[in-house]
Amino acid sequence: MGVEDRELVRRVLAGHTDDFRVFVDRYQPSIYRFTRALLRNREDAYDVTQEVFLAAFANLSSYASSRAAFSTWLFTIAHNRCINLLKRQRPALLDERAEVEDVAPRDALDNEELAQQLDRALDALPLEQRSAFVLAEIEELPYSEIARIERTTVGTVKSRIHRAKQRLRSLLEPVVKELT
Amino acid sequence: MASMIKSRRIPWVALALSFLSAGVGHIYCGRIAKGLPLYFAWILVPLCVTAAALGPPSVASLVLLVLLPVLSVIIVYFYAAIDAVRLAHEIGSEYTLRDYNRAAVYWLLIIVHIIYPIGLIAGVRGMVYEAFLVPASSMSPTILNGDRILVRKLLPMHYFPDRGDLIVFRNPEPTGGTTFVKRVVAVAGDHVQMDGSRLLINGRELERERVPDESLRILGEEVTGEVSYEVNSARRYLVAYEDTPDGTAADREFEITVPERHVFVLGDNRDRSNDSRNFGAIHIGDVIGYVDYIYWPSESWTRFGVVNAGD
Amino acid sequence: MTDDFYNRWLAQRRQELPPSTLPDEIMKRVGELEQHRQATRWLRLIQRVEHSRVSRWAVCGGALVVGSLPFLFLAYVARFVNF
Repeated sequence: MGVEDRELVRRVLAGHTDDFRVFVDRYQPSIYRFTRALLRNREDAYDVTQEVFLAAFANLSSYASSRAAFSTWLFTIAHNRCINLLKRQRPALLDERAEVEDVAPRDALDNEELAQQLDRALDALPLEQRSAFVLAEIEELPYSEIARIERTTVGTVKSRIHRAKQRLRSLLEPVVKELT
Repeated sequence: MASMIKSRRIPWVALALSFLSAGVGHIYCGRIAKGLPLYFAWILVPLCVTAAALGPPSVASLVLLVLLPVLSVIIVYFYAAIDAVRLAHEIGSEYTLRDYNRAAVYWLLIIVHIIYPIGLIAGVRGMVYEAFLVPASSMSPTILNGDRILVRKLLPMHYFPDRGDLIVFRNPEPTGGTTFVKRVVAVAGDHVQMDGSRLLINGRELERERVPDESLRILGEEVTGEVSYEVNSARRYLVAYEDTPDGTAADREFEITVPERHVFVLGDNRDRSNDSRNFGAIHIGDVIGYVDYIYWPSESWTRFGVVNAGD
Repeated sequence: MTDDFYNRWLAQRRQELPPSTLPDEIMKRVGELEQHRQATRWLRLIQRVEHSRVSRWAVCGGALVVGSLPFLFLAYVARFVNF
C-alpha cells in the first residue's frame, strides 16, 4: 500500500491531477467519519473533509519527503483542522467535560435507540478521547499511528481509549441489564 | 469566474507570443476575431503554390501565386507582432480575461503553428514543387551554373515526357550527383543517331539556326562555343557546341532505339554533359519532375521566369 | 450481551458513508486550485522576466528564433540557405 501511495503521489506531483481522485475515493469515507465524530456535525464534517483533501493536494510536495503512511498524514491534517475549527467556534467550551450531559437510560430500548444513545455518549466524550476512540475502534488504526496523529505517546493513546470504552460501557450496562 | 478578474496585458508578452506564432499575441489581448485570420494566414502559401502547379506555368502565376504569398506571410508575421504590442499598450491594465486566456491555449496554438507549416512545406516540396540549385553548366545556355529552378512534381496522371521537355530525374548510376536536369530529346520507340554534332531522330537530322554572338551577351561569360536554336518536334531550344571546326570534341558516333517506358535525355551544352550517351535512356519511373521556372537566375534577371514553355 | 450490542453499534459506525457528492466536490475544488496555481505560476515567471530589460529582450529574441523556424525551413527548401 505504502509504495503504491508514493507512486501515486509522484504521479500527481508530475501533473496528473486526476490521479488524486484515487486518494479521494479511498480515504474520504474514513476522513469524513473521523471529522464527523470530532465536530459532531455532518455539514462541518463535509466542509472540513474537502479542506483536508485540498490542503493535502496543495502540500503534496511536503508529504513526499515524510515517512508516514498517506492515511496517517491525512488523519493528521484532519485532526489539526478539526481542533482549529473547534477552538474558533467555541473557545470557552473547549473543556468538553462541562458539556457532558447524563444520558439517562430509559425503559424498553430497541437497537436503533440504543445506537443513538451510544452516538450521543460518544459525542459527549472529551475531544482527545473521542479522537483516539474513533481512530482505534472505528477506523481500526494501530496505536502507534494514532499516537503519531495526535502527537502524543502510545501510553496516552491507550489510556484515552480505555477511558472512552469504560464510559460507553458504563452507559450500556444498565440498559442491557434492564433488557435481559 | 475567470471573467471577473481584471488583468494587465503586457506588451513584451504580447510581442513574444506574436513572435512565436502570428495571431497569438492578438488572442492574448482578447482580439480573437483579428488573431485567427493572422494565425491562419500562412495556409495561403501551400494553397497558392498548389494552385500555381495546377495551371500552366507563367510569370504571372510564379509572381502572384508563389512569391507574393510567401512575401505576404512574412509581412503578416511582422505586422502581427507590431500590432499586438500596440494593442497591449492600448489595453493596459483594464483587461477582462476571456475564457481562452489560458497558457494551455497559447501553447497549443504555438506548437501547432510551428509544426504544421513545416509539415505542409515538406509536403509541398515532396508533391507539388521542389526547388533546386543547379551546380553545373551542362544545361547552359538554357540553365546556367548557379540558377535556382522550380521543378513541378504535380504531374498529370499518365504523364509521359515529350521531346523538348526539361526534366529532373534520379541519377541512374551510383556515382555523381543524386539528381540531374536534362532535356528530353527522344521518347520511347524513337531511333536516335548522333554523328559528330549532328543529331538524327528517326532518321531526320534536327534543324539548327545559329544564334549571333551579340544576343548571347546577357548570358554572361559562362556561355562559350557555338550556340544555336535546335528544332525538335515543333519545340525550339538553345543548344551549345564547342567551337571546334574540325570536330574533335564531338568526334563520336552514337546510335540507340529508345526502349518502352524510357526517354532519351541530353544536356543542352552538348559537349560538356554527362547524359543518356553515357548512362543510356532514363526509365520513366526515375523522372522526378518537370522544370517550370527559373525563380532566381544567376547572371541576369532577364532570365527570370518560365523555362519549359511548350511552344 | 453488552459486547454484542457494542460490536453491532461499532459495525454500524464503520459502515457510515459521507454524502455521495463529496468526492466530486473535492475533485472540482482540486481542479480549481490547480488552475489557479498554474495561473499564478505564469504570473510569477512573467514578473521575474519583467524585472530586467535583458531578460525581456532575451525572451522576445528566443520567441523570434522559434517562431521563424517555419520561415527558415521555407528558405532552406527554396535553396536560399544551406544547412
